Amino acid sequence: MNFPFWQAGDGFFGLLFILTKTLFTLTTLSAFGAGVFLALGEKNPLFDSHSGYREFMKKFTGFVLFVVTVLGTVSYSALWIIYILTAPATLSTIVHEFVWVWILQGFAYLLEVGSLFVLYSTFNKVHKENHVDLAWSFAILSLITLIISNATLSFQQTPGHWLNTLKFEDAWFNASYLASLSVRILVSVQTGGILALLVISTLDKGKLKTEVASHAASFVIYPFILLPFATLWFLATIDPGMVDYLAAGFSGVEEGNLSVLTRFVFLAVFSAVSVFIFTLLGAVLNADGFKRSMGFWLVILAFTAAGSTEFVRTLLGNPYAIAGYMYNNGIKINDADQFSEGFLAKAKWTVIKEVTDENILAAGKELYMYQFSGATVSGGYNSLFSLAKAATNVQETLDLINQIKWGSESNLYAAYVPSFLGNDSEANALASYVAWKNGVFEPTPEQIAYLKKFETAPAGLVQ
Amino acid sequence: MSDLQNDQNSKSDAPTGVLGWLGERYQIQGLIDYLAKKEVPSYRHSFWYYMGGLSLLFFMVQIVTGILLLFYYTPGKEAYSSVKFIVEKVEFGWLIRSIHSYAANLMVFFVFVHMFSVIFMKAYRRPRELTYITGFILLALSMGMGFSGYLLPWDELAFFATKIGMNITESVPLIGPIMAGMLKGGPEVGFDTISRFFALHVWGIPLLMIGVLGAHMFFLQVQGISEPDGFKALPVEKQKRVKFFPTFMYDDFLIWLIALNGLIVLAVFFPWGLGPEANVMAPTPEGIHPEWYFMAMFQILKILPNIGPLESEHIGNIIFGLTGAILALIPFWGNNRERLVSYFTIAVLAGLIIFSILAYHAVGSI
Amino acid sequence: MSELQNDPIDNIKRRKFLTYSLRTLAGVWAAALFYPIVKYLAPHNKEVAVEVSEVNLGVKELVPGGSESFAFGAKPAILFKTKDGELKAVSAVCTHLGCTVVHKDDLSKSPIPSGYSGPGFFCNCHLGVYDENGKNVGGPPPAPLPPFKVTVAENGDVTVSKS
Repeated sequence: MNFPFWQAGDGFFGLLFILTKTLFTLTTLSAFGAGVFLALGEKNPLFDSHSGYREFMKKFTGFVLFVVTVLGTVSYSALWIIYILTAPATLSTIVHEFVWVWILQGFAYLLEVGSLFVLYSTFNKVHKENHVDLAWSFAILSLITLIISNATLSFQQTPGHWLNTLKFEDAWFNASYLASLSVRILVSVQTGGILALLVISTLDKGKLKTEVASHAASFVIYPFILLPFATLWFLATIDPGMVDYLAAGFSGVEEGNLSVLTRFVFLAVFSAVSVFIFTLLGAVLNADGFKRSMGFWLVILAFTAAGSTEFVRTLLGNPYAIAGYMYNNGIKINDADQFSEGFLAKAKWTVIKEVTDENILAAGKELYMYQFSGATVSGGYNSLFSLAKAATNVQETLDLINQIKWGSESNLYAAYVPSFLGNDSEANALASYVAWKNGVFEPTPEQIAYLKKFETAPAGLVQ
Repeated sequence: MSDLQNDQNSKSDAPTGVLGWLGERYQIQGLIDYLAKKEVPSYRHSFWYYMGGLSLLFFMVQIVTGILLLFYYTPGKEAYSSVKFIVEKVEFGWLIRSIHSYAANLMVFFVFVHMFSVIFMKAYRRPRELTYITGFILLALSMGMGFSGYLLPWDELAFFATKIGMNITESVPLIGPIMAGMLKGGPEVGFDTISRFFALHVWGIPLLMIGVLGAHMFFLQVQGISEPDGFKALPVEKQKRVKFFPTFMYDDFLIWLIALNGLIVLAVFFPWGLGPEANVMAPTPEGIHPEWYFMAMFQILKILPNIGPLESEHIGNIIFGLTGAILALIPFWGNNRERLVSYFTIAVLAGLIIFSILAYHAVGSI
Repeated sequence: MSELQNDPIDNIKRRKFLTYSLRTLAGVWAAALFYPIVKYLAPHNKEVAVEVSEVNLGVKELVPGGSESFAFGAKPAILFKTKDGELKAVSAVCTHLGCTVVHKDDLSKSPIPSGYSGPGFFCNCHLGVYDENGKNVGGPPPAPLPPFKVTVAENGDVTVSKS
């Protein structure tokens, strides 16, 4: 495991992370859909006969160029920075496993951007047939990027045989690969349509707008028919435990007992249905009224749908970064037995190696930082603090920690948080720290002073 | 190319189906034609035209969820336990009640936004005086709905907020004590008060509201939406208009969709809570305060001094009464005082915001 | 410039498809909207009706021909003593439309000529007549009143159970 450089456990960074991830997902996905739209759009006879239409196509190509290059690279680099800072171990494992994939993906992306740039700059300059071919090549290159990135993403959810063989091809052709790819392609077509609708919302009302809007809307509407089936297929391929976890969240809906996961599933469904209605009523039936503000709201709805789906996907993977292989705090399952005998002594980067009465809070904080803070990137909903909220003293907090200990049979939270690794005195230290943070434990001044030292000048405390 | 700009659809044939059946018997087509002829100006600020529609949406949500809540709610001694039963035992009761509570607040909010936008766009001018006044009455009634509904769950906050409200009512000279007595139904706020507020909340005020709302919408349909000076000053070719039916109505509907999404997100992610049951004898808990739309009044009452024979509540009553009356009568100030109307409204708005912030600060929420 | 008028057939198809998808969507939406409402309105007994199979009535002193009604679970029932001194019980829910029947010493005085006289049960709603065994002997009732089993303990405790 590596040291997480940055504690991303609190709500703001969690939200930022999800927003960045959503922006990135949407921009990468949109490229293929937009490419298909461009290629088909140039085939439309209007392209030759109507100058307003050609103008629209050029405007749209420029917009896609902006999205794919600017938004794509900005969100991509932001995501890398967040990843490097918060989950270096996960990143290193995935990069290690997929180093060729990464290079290939980068190469495909460069080609994709290049072809798009050529497409944009050769408007009205090359023969029409060639231009359509250019549009197709952009679409195909985007599809290749999509196929490659899908491999790394679906691998994290269902590593399957790879856990035993550690072979590259087992990682690539993992169980959820095809299902996940089909979902992505459908959504990709939809995002392409939504980008087109955003540009269409800036057009003046008239017959052209009506015509193009309903064309773009079909990109959004038709995939909705297949999307439920693709989603069911995807659910059938992932770990049944995750599906149970999802179903369990719904069992309490009637009584208002909703898990965070369930709330976001609701949000995803509501906003997806709203995208459908918006497209149908706004762009198809009433294209004249489809103004800039409507385009804006459509994008917001689509972003909400994609963002909440992304969040659900992340939560479903919890508490693993790679299912069954590595917890999202960067600890590999193979090392768990070893760590459970004494975490602080075995882990490389720890300042405190042994728990004493004086350093109990500091040791607790260190255990928390390594094992739990990085694991609840997503806003702290399932953070240890909220799980332990009901405890009224250190003993009750300790009971909870023993319950989530590695190897515990009664762990109710195995699907939410990584198991605790450490010996009894470490469990006690963590319990004291959590109980103190939750306001049910009164430490001595020495303990607090030691914690202050640990927080401000940890180097001096190295044992 | 010229036929491209011409997007006028040829008039459709007579409708078939249900609409046709009705059309044969009633003058439906006339109504549709009338609505189709109406136009709404489309420009930078036409955004504000949707505020009234949003208020209407939340009013309809209130009626539906209110009727649903009535299936289980019992006024009187069992008020608290029946609300508890709704949110804890009844399937989706938590959802219905959450939506009712949030939509109530959103309705009041959008009615406020609607009123201020109407004033600033000078839509109250002749001949729309009555539209404005009915709108003002609707605002007062909405606040009355909020106030009467707040007590019904009979939790701690509800009880004390009502108690404060009743004391203010009582301090109105002459009619105050009589009115407060009629509302309370006893010497103190108690179970009898719940029954009376209940009657007002589910029948009295809603009936009035539906009537006034009908008049308000009738006036609007007859006179059309007002076009502000800035729009009229545009050269004719730049004055864009959209058809009320179907364009504006579709847009309205889509905005409702967004609003409903927001409402459901609020209800699902932050379900409305239920405090501990009110105890008439217990001391008032710390940080007690009314709903946000009464916060400014709440704060003003706290800081007003006693002047001579007048107690602070009396002064407060004078201030609130005068402000309300002046606001309500804006259309009759006269054409040459429109600037003054704007200044006065800005002052009221600023006062509301500042005193609300102060009030939240005082109870420790900010 | 005529290109904008696409193939009219294609347009009609598209319009039809849109109409259908709009209707389907409205249906799905309405279902999703009504599901919580239907669930919300489903019956809620605050006192849960427990399925009862036995009721203990304590010591009962009835004269021959006398009767007393009691609750068997959530439904009314009648305990009565025949002229011969035997203690019996039947459900008091009329099998016709669910009114509650009354025990009568002599049914010959009943307002319709059912041809039955003697003790039994009478339903005031639609003039149904049952004999003392609960058998439907006159009027509209389609089935007999279900009888209960009555046991009397040594101390006089009367217990009624499903037979």
